[in-house]
Order: sequence, then structure tokens, then C-alpha cells
Amino acid sequence: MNLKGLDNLCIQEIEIFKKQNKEFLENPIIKSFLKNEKNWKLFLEVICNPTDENKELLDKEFKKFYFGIRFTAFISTALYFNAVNFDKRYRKMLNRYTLTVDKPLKEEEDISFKDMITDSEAEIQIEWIIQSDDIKDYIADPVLYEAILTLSDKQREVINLAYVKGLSDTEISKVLNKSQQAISKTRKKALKNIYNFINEKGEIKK
Amino acid sequence: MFVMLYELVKESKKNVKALETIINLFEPKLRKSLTLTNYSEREDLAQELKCKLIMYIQGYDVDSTPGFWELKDQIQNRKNAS
Repeated sequence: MNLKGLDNLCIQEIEIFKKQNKEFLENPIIKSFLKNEKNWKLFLEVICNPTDENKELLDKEFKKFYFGIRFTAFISTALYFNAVNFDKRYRKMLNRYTLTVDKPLKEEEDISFKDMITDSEAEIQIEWIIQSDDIKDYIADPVLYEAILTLSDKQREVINLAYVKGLSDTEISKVLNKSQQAISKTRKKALKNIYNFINEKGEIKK
Repeated sequence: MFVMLYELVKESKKNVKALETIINLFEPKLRKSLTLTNYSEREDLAQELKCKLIMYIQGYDVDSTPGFWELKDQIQNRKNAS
């Protein structure tokens, strides 16, 4: 600490003050306040010339300094705790008022209601992709498979509609825009062709 | 900045501009606090915190800060008491 340019009396006074207020001057806030040269000069001025005016000047300067520290600390902690509380409140609300769609289904914790909803408006549905409507995809027996391949396109179409989609002759006739009798005839012919084919090969084993 | 704050807070009781300056000064701290909550809630939190800031700043008693001599007496008393 700079004591230059002061008379002896003043230095003595400072020593006395230092002795009397050791703890006060050790205080970190006071310490950092007096580190500032301007503040230190003010402080010396007060010790050497303890007028009310000088005292007040130092007091004011210190108040500004101390206020800044206190206020900043106050606002910082206030912001922190308000944010923490806000988050707590938000979580509580979220827990209490779960959205119906997000609610987990009773026993299965992983699946929520929204996973079970189907979109009726969707143009592509997963079942359509999985489910093939070609009869060839359903046949495991190689002989029967070959038999199907020998049919004409028309016959295969009717067989498809009748046995894969499960439509009646009348329904098929509406789909294909033909008479019911014609459909019935085509279907029976197709079945007979298959039967003959298998008979010729004579290899079907069940 | 510390010295400036004293004047600003005093001024902010009646001057909105000063109030705004203080809020801007604390903006970085505010931003950091936002990380405490869910991403989707941050805007709400920022608004709420600013609202609280105004409350705290205007409600803060500027003259409650002890002066130099006051603090000296306080520390002296504490020493004598212990």
C-alpha cells in the first residue's frame, strides 16, 4: 500500500487505524475496495482529514461498490432459483396432465396410445403392402404352382378374386363387368384345368 | 460496471430505459439459466424470468446497502460478540 507523500502524523494515524480495525481491513470486500487506487486515496484522505465531507465521500463511493456486488449476487441467485422452480412446475404439470395420446397403455410401459392409431386418410396402408393379391404368392406346392402358371390371364384373375379375396361369383362379375354365368364358367374351367394338370403329373402328395 | 449499477437501479424506479439497460446487463446469466429446462419451454422461461427481474429490480431497496462506516461497525460488533 502506497504511503508516499504523507506526513508522519498521518502515517501514525493510519497505523493506529490498522491496529484497531484489523479484522475490518481483512474483510475481502474492503480489501478489494481499497485495492482501487482512487478508493485508497479517499481512504487516506479520511484518516488524515477526518472531516464529515471526506467521510461521506468515502461512504458514498463504498456504497456504490458494495451495492454492485450485492445486487449482482442477488439477481444471479434469483434467476437461478426461479429457473429451477419453473422447471419443477413444468414437470409437475406434465406428470399430472399427461396428454391422452402420450399415456402409456396399462401394462406395457413402452407403448403409448399414439402408437396404436391408424390413419384412415392415409393413401398407403401397411396391410396392402404386406398382403399380396396374387395367388402365386400363396402356393407352397410346386406342382400346384405350375398348374396355376398354365392358366390363361383371365382364368387366373378370376381365381385370384375368388380364392384370395374371397369374393362370390356375383361380386366378381360386378368387378370385371361380366355376367355372373360367364364368371362361374371361367372359374370352373380354371379349376378343371388345374385338376387335369395335377392328374397328368400325378405327383401331388398330401 | 458495479459502480454503474448503483445509479442504474436507483434510476430504474422511474425510468424504463434504465430498467431495460439492467435487464440487458443480466442477459448472459438469464440465457445460462434457460438450460435448466426443456428446450421447448425456454421461450416461456425467458419471458417469466424477465418479468421476475423487473419485479426484483424495482423492489430492491437501494439504501439497504451498508456504507463504509456502517460495515466497519458491523464487523467490529461481530468481533466483540464472539
